[in-house]
Amino acid sequence: MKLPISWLREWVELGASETAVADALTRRGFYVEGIETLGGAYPGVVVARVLEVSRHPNADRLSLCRVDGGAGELRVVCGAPNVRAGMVVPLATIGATLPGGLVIKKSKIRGEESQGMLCSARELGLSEDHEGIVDLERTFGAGEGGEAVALPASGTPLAALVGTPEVVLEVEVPFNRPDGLGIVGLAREVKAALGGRWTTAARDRLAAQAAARGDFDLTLEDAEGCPRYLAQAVEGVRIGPSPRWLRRRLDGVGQRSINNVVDLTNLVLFEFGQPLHAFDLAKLAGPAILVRRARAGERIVTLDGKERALDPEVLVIADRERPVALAGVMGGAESEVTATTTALLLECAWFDPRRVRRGARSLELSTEASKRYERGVDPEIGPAATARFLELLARVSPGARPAAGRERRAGEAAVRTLTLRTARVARLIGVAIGAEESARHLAAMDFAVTAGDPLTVAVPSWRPDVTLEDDLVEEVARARGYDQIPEAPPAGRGVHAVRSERERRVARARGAMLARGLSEAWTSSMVSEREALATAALLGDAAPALVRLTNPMSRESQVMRPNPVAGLLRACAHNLRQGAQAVRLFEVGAGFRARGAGELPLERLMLAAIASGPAHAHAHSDETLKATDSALQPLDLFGAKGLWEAWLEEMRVDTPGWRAYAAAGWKPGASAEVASVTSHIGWAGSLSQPLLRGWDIEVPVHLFVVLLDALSQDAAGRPRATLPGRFPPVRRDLAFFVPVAVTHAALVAALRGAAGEWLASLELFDVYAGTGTPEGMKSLAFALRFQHPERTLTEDEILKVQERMTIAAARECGAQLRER
Amino acid sequence: MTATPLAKDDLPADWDQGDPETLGAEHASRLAELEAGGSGWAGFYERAARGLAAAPDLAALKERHTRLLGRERGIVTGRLATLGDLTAAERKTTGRALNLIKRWLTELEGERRGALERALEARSASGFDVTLPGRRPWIGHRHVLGQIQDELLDLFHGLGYSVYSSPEVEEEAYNFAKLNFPPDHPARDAHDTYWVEGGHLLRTHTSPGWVRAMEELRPPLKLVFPGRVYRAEQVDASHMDQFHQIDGLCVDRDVSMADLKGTLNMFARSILGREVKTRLIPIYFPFVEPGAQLDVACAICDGTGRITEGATAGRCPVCKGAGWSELLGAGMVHPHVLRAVGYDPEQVTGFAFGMGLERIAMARHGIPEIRLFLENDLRFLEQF
Repeated sequence: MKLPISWLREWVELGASETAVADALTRRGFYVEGIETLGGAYPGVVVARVLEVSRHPNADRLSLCRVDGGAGELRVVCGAPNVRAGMVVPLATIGATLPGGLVIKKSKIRGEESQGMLCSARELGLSEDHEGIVDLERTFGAGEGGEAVALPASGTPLAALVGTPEVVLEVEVPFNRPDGLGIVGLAREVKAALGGRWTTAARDRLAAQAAARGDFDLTLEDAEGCPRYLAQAVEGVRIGPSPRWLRRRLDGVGQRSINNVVDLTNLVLFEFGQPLHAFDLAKLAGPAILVRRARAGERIVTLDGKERALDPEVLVIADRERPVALAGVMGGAESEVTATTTALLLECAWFDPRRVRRGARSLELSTEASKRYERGVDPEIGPAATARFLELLARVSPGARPAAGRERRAGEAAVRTLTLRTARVARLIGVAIGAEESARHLAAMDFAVTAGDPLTVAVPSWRPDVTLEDDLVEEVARARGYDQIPEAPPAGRGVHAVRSERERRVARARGAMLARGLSEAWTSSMVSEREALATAALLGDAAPALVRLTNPMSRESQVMRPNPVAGLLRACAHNLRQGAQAVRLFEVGAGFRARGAGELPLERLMLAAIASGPAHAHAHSDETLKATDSALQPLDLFGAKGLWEAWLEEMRVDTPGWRAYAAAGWKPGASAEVASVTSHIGWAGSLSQPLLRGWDIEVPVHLFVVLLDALSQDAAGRPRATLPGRFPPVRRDLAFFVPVAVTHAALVAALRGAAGEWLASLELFDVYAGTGTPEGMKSLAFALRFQHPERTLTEDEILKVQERMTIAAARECGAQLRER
Repeated sequence: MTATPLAKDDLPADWDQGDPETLGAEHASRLAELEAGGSGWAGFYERAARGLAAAPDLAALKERHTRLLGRERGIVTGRLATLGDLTAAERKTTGRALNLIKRWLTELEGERRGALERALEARSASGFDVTLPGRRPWIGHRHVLGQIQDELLDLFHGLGYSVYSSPEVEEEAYNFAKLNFPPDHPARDAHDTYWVEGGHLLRTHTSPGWVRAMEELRPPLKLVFPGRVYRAEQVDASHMDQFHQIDGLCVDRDVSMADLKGTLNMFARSILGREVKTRLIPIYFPFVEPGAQLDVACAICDGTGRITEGATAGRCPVCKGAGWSELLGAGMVHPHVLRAVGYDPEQVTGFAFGMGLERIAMARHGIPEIRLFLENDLRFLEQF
C-alpha cells in the first residue's frame, strides 16, 4: 500500500518528517519498504506544443516533431506512438536534468538532430506510466467541475503545472490488518504512534453518514454472502476527465486515471479501504439489484473484457435479468460507466471475506477490491464512504444529485467486547504495565476502554484481527514499542538438551564420508518421474509407490524422490560439464514412498554416495618415486568398495556381508547388496552406461546407498575393550587353490571357523588364476598373524592350527593348500 | 690439573680452512678480549671458532660440537668441570676465559646450523625436490548450509534445546489449521503450497513440528526443528522452491517476550558478533501473538541506510538504503495453537522463533544466488 504523505496530512495534524513517519510505522508492524518521491523540480523541462509530426526518414518507429518550446521552434526526435500535432507535452530542453539524473544533450538519432526530448510520466517520475508522452491536456486540462481549463503558454516551466513533489511511503500491510489498506487506517496508526490528532476535515468525514431514501429495488438473496448493501442512484452526472487534484491522489497510490466517476470510487477505496462500484443506471434492467449466487451456466463479460463462466460458488450482483458484476471482485462490461452515462448507481457493500475469496479464486482474479474484501472491510464504514463519494462527486460533476436509494442490512453486527488483565500483560510481555498505561495506548487507537482491572475494551469495527485478550496484549506491546521490552537472559528452566542416538548416528555417517574425501551435496527433493523410476529400480523397486505433486512447477520436479540418487547424478553431470575430473559426493536425506490412502508417505533416511574419477586428488608420475599406476588411474570397483567398507567399519556395522545383486541400472556383474547380521543395509556397485546416459554421463560412476535407520539396530553401541597382546605375533602366508565358484567370503569363513582364538588376523593379499593353476581353480593367498595373549606360540602349535584350517578349507570349500 | 690453556694444536689443523669472514664482525674483538685477559686461550679459540663456522655439513658440525662442547667428552666442557681443582686466582682467569669461549662457540655453532639447514631446504644433496607435490587424498567438504545448521544447533544445544524431527510431506491440518491459519484465509497466500496426490502437502515451514512435538510431549519443552521446507514459487536468483529453516520453541509456565528477546539477542550476538545491533519489531504470523521480527542493522551504515561522511556519502551501497535486514521471525505461541494441542494458555505460555539457513549463509559468506545451494557445483562446495 502506497501512502502519500500529503494525503496523510489531510487526515492527521502532524509535525513529523516523512522519515519519522516511516520509522514509526515500521516499529508498529507496518514495515515501510521504501520512500519514493513523485515529481521534482524539473529544471529545464517546459510546457511545449507539438506543431507538426512527420516520419523519421531512417526509422519506422521514430517520428520527427516540430515543437514550440516557447523560445522558438525546435526539432525533436520522438519514439512514442501517441505523439500527434496539436498535443501539449512536457519538453526537456537541452541541459535539462530529469529526476532519474539523465541530462539532456543535443544529439543525433539515426542521423536526425534532436534538440530535446518529449517525456513520459515515468521519465518525469510522475508515475509508472511509460506507454507514451504525457498528454498535458488530458492530465492537467480539466478544471474542478470537469470544464476545460487553458494550459500555460509554451515555455512555462513544467513545475508550475505539476506542483510540489509528492513523497510516498511504500508500506507492507500485514495480512490481518485490512484497515491498513486505507489511508484512514494508516493515519490512525501514525496518529497513535506520534501523538497526532485527526484534522477537522477528517473528523467531519468520519462522522458523515449517507442515508438512502429507501425507494430503490434492492434484494439480498444471499444474506450470508452479503449482509449489507447500500445502493444509491445519482442523476445529472457528467462523465469527463478528472481534475488535477484527483489525478494527483491516484498517481500517489499508483492508480491510473480513467474518468471522474471511476477515479472517485478508487479514491474512496484507497482512502477508506471500502470498495465502491458505479453502474450505469440506464443499463440496469429494472432498475433493480439482486445479490445472489451465480446460476450454473451463467456467463459475464468483466471490465477487463474477458468472458467468464460462473458457478454457484460465485456471488454476483444481478439486475432483473442477468449478473452485472462479480460481487467484491470486478464489475461487468455491459453496465460500465462510459462517456455517455448520465445516471449511475453506486454500490457500497460488505461481502463475506470467504465468499469473495472463493469467487476470486475460482475465476483466478485478484483486484484491489477483492484484496480488501478477502481481508475484511470495516462493516461500519459504508455510510461515511458513500457520503464522501457523494460530496466529492458534487465537486467534480456539478449538478449531480442523489435519486432513489436503499440500504439493506441483514442483522446488526455485534460490538466485540474483551477484557484485559494487567497480570496477563505482565505475563506475556515480561514487564509490568499499569492498567492506565494500557488504557491510554488502546484509546489512542480508538478502542473504547472502560477503566478498571481488568479493562473492558470495545473493539472497533475496523479491527477484525482483535478477538482475544492476547490480541490486546499485542496492541499494548506494539504501542509501548518492542524496544521497550526488557531482555531476560535465557534461563535453563530445568530443561537439558539431549542428542538422540539417531542424530549422533547421522552426524557420524556424514563425518565418515567426509573422511573418505567425499563432499556433502544437498540436492533437490523433487525429481522427474523418469529419474524416480530409474533410481527406484536400482534399489530393487521396479514399480515404486511414488509421491506425486499435483501442482508441480515443471516435469523436472514432479515427484518426491524415492532416494537421493537422482540428485547426486544431476550434480555429477553438472560438475562433469563444468570440467571436473572427479566427482565424489554424498547426501543424507529422505527418500519418499507413498502409503495407503490418507496416510503420510514413508520417509526413509538414506545416505547415498557417488564416486567417479581418479582415486587421488593429486598424483604425478615421477621417475625417482615410481608412483604406482593406481594412483593415477580412475577409481576402480575395488577402490570404490574399499571406500564403502571403510565407511561401514567406521560406522561399526557388525560384520557386514556382501551378496551378489542384480537390478536394472547397475553394470552387469558389478553390484552387490550389503547386509549385517540382522538386516539389509544397502547397495553398492558400478552404474550401467544406459542408466548414466539418462543424465548425460559418459564416465564410470560408483554408487553406494545405505538405509540409515536400518543401520541403527546393528551399529554396535559400546564395544568392550580387549587387551592388545603383549607377546610377539607369528606371521605366516598360506595360499589355496579353490574352485572358481567359491567366494572369498566362504573360504575366509571356513578358515576362521577352524583357526580358533589364536588367529589374530587374516588378510587376502593375492588372487590369481592362470599359468600354474589347475583347471577350474583359482588361487587365493592370505597373510596370517597368530598371537597368544599370555605367551609366545611354539612352531608346533602354529602348525597344528594351520593343519586344522587346511582340513576345514578342503572339506567346506574343496580347497587345496598350494605348496611352495 | 693444570691452568695451562688448551692450544691450537689440540684441535685438527684442517679446521683452519674455514673462511674467517664467516666468523662475524666480533671475532677480532673477542680474540683481543681473550689476549687481554692474559689467559693464553686466543689461539685455541681461533681454531675452534673456524672449525665450527666452516663445518661442511650437519654431521661434521655435530662431531665438532661433541669434541668441543659435548657433555661427556668435550674438551671445553671437561676443563670447566675441573675448575674446582685450581687455585682461586687461576680459577678466576681460566673460568672467565672458558665461559666466554663456551658462550661464543655455542653462538657460532647455532649460526652455522641455521645456515646449513636453510641450504638443505631447497634441495638436498640427493636431488630430491622437496617442493614437488605429494600424492594427495581427496578432502570432503561439509555443505555450507550443513555447517551453518551445525553451528546453530550447537548454539541452541548449549541453551538447552533438543532437536525434534517431523515429516516433510505433512497433513494440511498440521501445516495450517492447527497453527491458526483459518481456512480460506489470505494468510495462506504467503505460503504457496505444493500439494501431493492424496491431499497432503509439502510443509511450507518447519512450524508443524511444534504441533507434533506438543501433542507428544508435556511442558516444559525447549526444542529446535531443523529441516527442508517447500514453497511453490518460480525459482530465480533470490527464490528457491525448496529451502531450509530452523524453528525453536520454548514452552513453560511464565515464559514471556522478555525471555524471547534475551534468547534472540544472545543468538544474534553469537552468530554475528558481540557488536551486532538488532531491533525487534511487530509482524503478523497467524501462529504467534504478539508476533515479532528481529532485524539486524547493516554493518556499514548502522541501520540508517545512508552514509553521511566521506567520498561515498549517499545511499548505503551495501544494504541499498534499507538499513536493516530481517534475520528471523518470532513471537509468543498463539493461544489457539496451545489449545489445539491440549495445553491451557492460562497455565503455560511459550515463545517460538524461526529462521532461514540460506539467508544467514548468503549474508555471512556474500553468496549472491540462492540457486547455488542445491546446484552442488564442487567449485562452490569446496570453498567452505
